[in-house]
Amino acid sequence: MDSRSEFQDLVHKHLNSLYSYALVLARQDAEDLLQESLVRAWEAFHAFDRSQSFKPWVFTIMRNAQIDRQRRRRAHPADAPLGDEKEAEPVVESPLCSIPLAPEDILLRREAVEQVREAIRHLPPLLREIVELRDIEGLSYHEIATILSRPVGTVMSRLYRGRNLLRTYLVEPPQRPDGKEIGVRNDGL
Amino acid sequence: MMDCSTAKSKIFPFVDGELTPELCDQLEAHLARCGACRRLVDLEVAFRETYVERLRPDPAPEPVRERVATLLRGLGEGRRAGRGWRRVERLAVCAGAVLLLVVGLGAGIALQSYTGTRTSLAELADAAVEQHQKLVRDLLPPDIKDVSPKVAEEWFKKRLAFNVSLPELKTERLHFLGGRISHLREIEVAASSIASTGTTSHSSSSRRRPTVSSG
Repeated sequence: MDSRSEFQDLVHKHLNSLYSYALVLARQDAEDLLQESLVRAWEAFHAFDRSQSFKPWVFTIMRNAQIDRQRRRRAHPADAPLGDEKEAEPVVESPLCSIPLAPEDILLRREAVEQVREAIRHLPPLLREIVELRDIEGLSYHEIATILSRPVGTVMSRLYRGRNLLRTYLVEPPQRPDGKEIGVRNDGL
Repeated sequence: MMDCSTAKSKIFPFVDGELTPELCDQLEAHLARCGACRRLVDLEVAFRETYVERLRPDPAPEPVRERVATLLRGLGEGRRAGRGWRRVERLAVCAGAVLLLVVGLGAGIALQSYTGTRTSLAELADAAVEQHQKLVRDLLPPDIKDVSPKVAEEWFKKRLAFNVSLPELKTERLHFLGGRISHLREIEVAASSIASTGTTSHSSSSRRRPTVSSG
């Protein structure tokens, strides 16, 4: 198989993940970011280490592309400030008992998977990004740290905070602008 | 010996399979003698199995899939073609950007007046310049190419809420290179590229002049 076919196959295989991550990073410009990232990835594909996973490699390219886009344009309130986030926070050592909700309570409420997905979408951008990369894309802490250019400890800390906040949202859903709650079932469960 | 506080702080990386073997052994030893922490781990595992492991990324919409497929088909060709044109294209960027800026501003004014979009003219102008630079540098490849301007007009018509008029190219020196639909903030934009082929010393190079219609 030539490299072009190999690249095409990899993109098709991971297209949902690529588009989903572009939505996390760029929202309104997700498709443009996706296409720009694919062009960059193709241009760098000759240097791609086949012993590594394709997805974190191309995610890194996409994130760098988004940082370049944000540098080129003025900061836009809707865009997460990927490049100027605070430096590494220490790993949170507080125990799980500080989580506002025991997982058992969530299980008893039988939240639908889609409601969990919706709650993830409402996490703050930096926390959402890490929760998505870990819990939806299944990337390792090390792979996420590489994509974000941050220490593994920062990834663990943000993942901890993101997951805790997610559980909070499942109990007390964030409010939409129209005042309706997000992620609340109407069947009494 | 690991205490409960430390054990609880390790539950997420433990369930994620991210603990070092040494810490993993210590935690498992603690869990073997602490029912409360063991229960927390069981609940976390149940939460993962019930919800997290069933989460999937958002599916890419069909139009996005189509455009990505078109992009992938053209990647190899675009790369080869791009090499010969890049020097002239770089020279064309500044002049072309001004052209696009003007068109973008006009489109923005019109759009703001009737759609009430919150995109400011300055933001639209920035996005228009950026978009143009990407087009001439082949960072945003065309969605449609190797067709006549008339065919491209029809292609745009089926996908956009406004009409796009492309000029008829009556001389062999002009070639329609392709068209693309993009988004400048919330606004859909149709972009097209026309090449003017040199006849003397620049036989292998072309000048690309992207034009933009917006609605």
